[in-house]
Amino acid sequence: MSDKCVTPLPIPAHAGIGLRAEHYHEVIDTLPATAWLEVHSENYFGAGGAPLVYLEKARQHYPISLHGVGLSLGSSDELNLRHLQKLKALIERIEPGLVSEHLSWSSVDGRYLNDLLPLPYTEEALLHFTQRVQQAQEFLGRELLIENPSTYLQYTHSTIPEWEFLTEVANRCGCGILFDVNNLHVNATNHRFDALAYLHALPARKIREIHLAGFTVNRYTDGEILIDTHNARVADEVWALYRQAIEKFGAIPSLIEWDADLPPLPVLLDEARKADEILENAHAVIA
Amino acid sequence: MPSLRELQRAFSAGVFNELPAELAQHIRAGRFPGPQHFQIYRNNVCESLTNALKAVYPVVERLVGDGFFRYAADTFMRTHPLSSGNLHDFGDGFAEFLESFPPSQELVYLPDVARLEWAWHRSYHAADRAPLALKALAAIAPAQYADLKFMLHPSVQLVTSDYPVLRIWEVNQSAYAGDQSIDLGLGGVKLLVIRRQQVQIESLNEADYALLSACAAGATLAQAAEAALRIQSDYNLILALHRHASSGVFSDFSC
Amino acid sequence: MSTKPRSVLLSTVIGGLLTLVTQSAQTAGVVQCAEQERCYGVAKAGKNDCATVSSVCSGTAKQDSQKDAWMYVPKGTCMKIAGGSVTPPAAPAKSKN
Repeated sequence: MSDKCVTPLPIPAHAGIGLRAEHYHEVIDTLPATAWLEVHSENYFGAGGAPLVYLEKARQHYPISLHGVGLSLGSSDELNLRHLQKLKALIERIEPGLVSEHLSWSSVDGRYLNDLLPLPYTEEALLHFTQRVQQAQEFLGRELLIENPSTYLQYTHSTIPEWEFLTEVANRCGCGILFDVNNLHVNATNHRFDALAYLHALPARKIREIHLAGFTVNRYTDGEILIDTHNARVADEVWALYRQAIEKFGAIPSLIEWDADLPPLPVLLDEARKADEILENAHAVIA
Repeated sequence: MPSLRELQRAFSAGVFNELPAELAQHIRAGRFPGPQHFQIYRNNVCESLTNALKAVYPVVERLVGDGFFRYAADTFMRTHPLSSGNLHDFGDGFAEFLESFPPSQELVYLPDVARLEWAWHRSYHAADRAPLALKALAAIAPAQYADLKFMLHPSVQLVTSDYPVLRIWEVNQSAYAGDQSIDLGLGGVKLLVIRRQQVQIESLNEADYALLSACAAGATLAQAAEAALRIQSDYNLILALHRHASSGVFSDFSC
Repeated sequence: MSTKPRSVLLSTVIGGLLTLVTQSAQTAGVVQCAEQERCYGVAKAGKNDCATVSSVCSGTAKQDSQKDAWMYVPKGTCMKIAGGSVTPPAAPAKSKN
């Protein structure tokens, strides 16, 4: 096949969109004006077939970021080398600009729950998570980005604020941070803390990528909770937080993430355009 | 304070069974009591695994309906732990599960429909490989013919059933608009599932099925030929091999 | 003894195959597609997304006690399959319920 990748392309400090199967044809046929694309790594862990064909075609025209959801870095199990090997093979095939995973766990005793589950923020978990990230980075021979997760519970024995935990991981491992602004908003609302204080405590030099997405409010008779459903436009509060983030961190590659109830491609591009407008201001300030 | 490992084990147990008291006491009461916060994870795991199963088994879902499928999925996910961080691996063994799942015993064809859908799923994600070019056989010395083996393309799956599962599968595709009725009296089928550009399902006759399943099991071409000839004494091996090779069923040979 | 007729058969088969290949060289091969990506049709959605599903899963809250009786009864298109939703036809290997 003639679908060989060109040289690795860095992810530019502009807006990108998540590439999902429903949009493969349209993206490849129309090559929309988006600076880069992100996909979920595990969707391309198959040995062959259509998903990889489409991803390689997209890769011919766009820088690609690989976003993992299944490595389970926070698990107390041994690191899953089979999973890591598949990720490594995909990295070699696609030559992504960025590779990211989550500050979470999803398996124990070899059983996978396939969800991004919350870690207790303790010294033990910090040491453990740091070792796992280091091990994964050594295996892959490259920097990983770690994303702050959305969480729906807090442990009573957590002693370290999440921002501090994440910063420590980044400092100790030399990994980057994928800052999900929507997750911060969801968590700050659900757990009643100050999102801006969290944002300003993050180390600017470690932020390599930003995620933007929509959430859902679940209302019950005894209260409500925000759920990170990735099924809607970015909320106004999240845009406001994003402006603050760009002001503090400068222009950072920013992704419009949409997974459920996927809209027509122009809606994603419109959201990306909004992010680009905010990023343009940052570029202008720097210039 | 539980260790990370203790906490994760209790969490997993709480998702699939009851929330252990030792974990409940370590979940902070927030907008809701701790156990209600935990319930969000129970729901999400159950819902995402159910949806993953539905995506692989849409025909089974149509056959039994959403309520029954959820019930089956709920039981399946508790008894068949997923050992991979890739949801595409979830659903292996669902056919065998349905075989012994008491509430679906009357739907005798259901496990074979699931088997066909899993074969489709595996074919979809199988490795890419160029089809076998028969002219390469010219390079083989006749002395080696006895050891010659034909290998099936990685995307090939063979399915056999005592029921008309291809008809059941076709009628339950969302685009299907024809006659909905199915007569189980149509009898069984032997099927070839293969990905050319798209995944396709084709009927095989008994002799073709014997030939290809022998190849799949690692038999030599001579043994596979004998298996086909046992079914059909006038089986035209040359035409059959040429037809299968031309349609991409083989990818390699060895000798 | 038994290997001789087999190898004779195989040389006939392979000879015949090679002749067929030469004759049909123009048409042989897997279906070609001018626009290759089109041939892949509608791609199946990847299942590894990272959204949290907000709906409630009926099975989890109280496990078996919450299962309604109607869930035990299939209510899909299987109702249209006639001729043996109970009795397997010509399937001696399978036990009847």
